[in-house]
Amino acid sequence: MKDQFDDSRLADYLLGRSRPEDRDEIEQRYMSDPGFLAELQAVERDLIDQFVRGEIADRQAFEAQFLNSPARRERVEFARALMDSASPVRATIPVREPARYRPWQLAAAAVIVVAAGALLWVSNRPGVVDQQVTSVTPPAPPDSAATAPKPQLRVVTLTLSPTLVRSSGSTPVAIIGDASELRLVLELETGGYPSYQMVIRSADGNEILRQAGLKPESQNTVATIAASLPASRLAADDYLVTVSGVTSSGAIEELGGYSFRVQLRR
Amino acid sequence: MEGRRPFKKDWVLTGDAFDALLARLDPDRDRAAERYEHIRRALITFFECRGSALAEDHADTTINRAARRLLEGSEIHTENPASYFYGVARNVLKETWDAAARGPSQLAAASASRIAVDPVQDDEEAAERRLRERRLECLESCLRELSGDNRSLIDGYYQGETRIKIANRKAMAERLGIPINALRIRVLRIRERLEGCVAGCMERRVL
Repeated sequence: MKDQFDDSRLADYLLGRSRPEDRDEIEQRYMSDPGFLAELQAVERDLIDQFVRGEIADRQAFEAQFLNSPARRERVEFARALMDSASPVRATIPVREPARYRPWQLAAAAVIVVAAGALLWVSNRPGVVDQQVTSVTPPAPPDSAATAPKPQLRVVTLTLSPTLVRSSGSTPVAIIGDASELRLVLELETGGYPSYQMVIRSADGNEILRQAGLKPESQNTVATIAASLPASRLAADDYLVTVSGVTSSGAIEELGGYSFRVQLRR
Repeated sequence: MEGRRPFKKDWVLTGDAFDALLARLDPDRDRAAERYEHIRRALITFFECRGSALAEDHADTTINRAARRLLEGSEIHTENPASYFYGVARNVLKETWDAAARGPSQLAAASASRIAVDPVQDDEEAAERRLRERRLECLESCLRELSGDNRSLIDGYYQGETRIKIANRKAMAERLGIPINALRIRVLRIRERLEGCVAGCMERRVL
């Protein structure tokens, strides 16, 4: 029964993009066919999952159709919770509250930053290419036990430089530990594109992340692009990053590759 | 039928009217009840997909109206009773559009989540975070209530990134000896139960 309406046409219906005649036919069919209704509901859940993973193509249509209804919003939030529960690092809820910290907390944060800087200095000795800075949020005030925040979001940032890899001959390593997120910052050899695309693949060729529309930023006169991915997507493995420049006409021109290794623990 | 809110129309679906409705759906009462549940789910889907923020209410209005007409002597002239409900639903939808065009929308009131948030909350992001934490705790509790098989099914189905997920699902379907589409529907049913469980948990934790 569903052969005339495959998943993409059902998705069009759910996103409000169907032609009226298709829409009416789909509605009449699912009114009388429980199996077809189940297919439609499964497609709906797939769309919701794509949205919460940031993979949906027509985000605008999804938001217009799905965020105007309390019931559908709840399904979206459920999908987020399902994704969070599947992550090996629980509580991936970022803290974005304005900081209201006491001087001793700021001092503690400063100590942590200095320690991280020392770690970076040690790891940047010639021949050692582990470039890792761990972001840690300051500790919670001691007098707020009742509302003490849960373990905070930790991000590992790895900066990849094509010149560094060529000169050292070693593969940069990211040690994930308990981090929730890996942020990759790529120094660009070739600039001049309005935007860039980054594709990360595992050693066996599986695509882990594809992110387009990356705008270059300047860090100390070097152009960089950056993307983040949940640590849950990474296994202990070698990864290859391919960077392409996207011209103003949309043409994609491959610029080069970087590689890095992920270790889950020291 | 669980969790239904009071209907907005004056006419109330009485026991007799409900029995008459079921009798029109199927002579066998159990089959009739299944058809009724399907029609209600389909009506909710219809109203959601047509942009209604009050899909359950409109579905119940549709059912009320159809039941009242049947009780008053109307006949269902189609072989498929669902088509009759579909026709009534389209009229209900048109009425809601006409009402929205004439007066203030009910969307603002309907858009508020059923989950209450502490009103003494001046930080929206912190409130959102607490909601998400609460939802996650509820989900984990609901997952623990699943049978071992269902828990394995859910965990395996949603594991991994897109390509890995697709390969996993094919492998799962093969292991179970069912088509991949049947696996998809089976997981959908478990997910729907989890969604209901989480919704109930969230409401209980507010009260």
